[in-house]
Amino acid sequence: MGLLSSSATITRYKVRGKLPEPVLEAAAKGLSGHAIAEIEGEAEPMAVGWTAFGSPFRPDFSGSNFEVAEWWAFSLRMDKKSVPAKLVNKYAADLASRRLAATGRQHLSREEKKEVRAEVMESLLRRVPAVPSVYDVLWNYTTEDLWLFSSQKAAAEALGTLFHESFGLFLVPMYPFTRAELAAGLTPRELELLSAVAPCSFSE
Amino acid sequence: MLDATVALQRYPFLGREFLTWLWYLTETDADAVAEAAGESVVVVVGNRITLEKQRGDDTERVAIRGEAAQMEEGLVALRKGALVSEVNLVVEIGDQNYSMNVRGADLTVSSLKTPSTGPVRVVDEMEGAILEKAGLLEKALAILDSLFYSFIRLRISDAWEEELPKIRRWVSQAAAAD
Repeated sequence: MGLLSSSATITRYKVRGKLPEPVLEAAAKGLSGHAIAEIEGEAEPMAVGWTAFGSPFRPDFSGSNFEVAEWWAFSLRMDKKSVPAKLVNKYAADLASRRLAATGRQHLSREEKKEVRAEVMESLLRRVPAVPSVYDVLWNYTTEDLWLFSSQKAAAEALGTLFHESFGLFLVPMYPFTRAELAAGLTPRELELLSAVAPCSFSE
Repeated sequence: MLDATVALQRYPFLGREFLTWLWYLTETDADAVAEAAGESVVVVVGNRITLEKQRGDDTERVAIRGEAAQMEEGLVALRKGALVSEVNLVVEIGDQNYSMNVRGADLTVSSLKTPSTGPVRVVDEMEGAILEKAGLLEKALAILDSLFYSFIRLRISDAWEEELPKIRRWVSQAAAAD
């Protein structure tokens, strides 16, 4: 449910830390330096990286094209290959038979069986296409607000890690307590009261 | 600043209490809702509400879909000590309508629908579309945030001791009337 879809799902964060000046250049460097790498034909099972908003299969951040007034708009892309276990078993059995026939032996050792499965997995990963998942991101650098257009745990975890690797900054999820603590404009006395708050019963 | 994960574990009730208070307020005092939102808005509970009650390691969940008539079941659950864990809110700002599902645990917003925006026909229209949509989303989220901040200020103030009996009366009277 992306930014421009008719129905949006949003997880909100506060960004902790500052980019080096000039910030736009630093943001572009972080994005292009960690742009999604294509893994088609590679043995990699998955890839995570940034891509351009609106053109998820062309991760181009040249000319600060991600800047839209006060927002920086881009997307998180996660490509994942999935190889069914039954397929691995089939090809591993076939390769094991050929190995045994070539050597004239009756059995493969446990280590050899492991190697066969690894070899088969690598071969299949090179042939299996990666399935991309794209999650839009909006970042307002001035207000330190960042929105991830997803509520999926895997997307949130990938975002936190990639964001820190790309920009050296941290994301604080705006859960109820953190939202109250960071954005409600509470005084130090009110923050103390907030920390001491305990659950109450709404029924008699 | 408290680590976010620790905060989520230590104060899991805050968001659910907020949604429960908000349901009470929308049912009893539309002016107070607008005051808490900080502007002239109408906020009502839409066609979906989920309540949860923690019982040891188990969670009892009551999920209700439908119009107001079916909400009676929710009031009964409230009376048994459950709190609202997720709710569909319909927000009217002037002649604009928004709706969204809000999850109490982490305040994640899903199925957020804004007034419709024009289609993007050419790439040159993309920037305008992003700005328009971001502005509409911001508007809806700002209302939700204002309501939440009003709740938090009330919750940590002495006035909460006056508010809580009113909510309890609403829960018991509404449930008893069914």
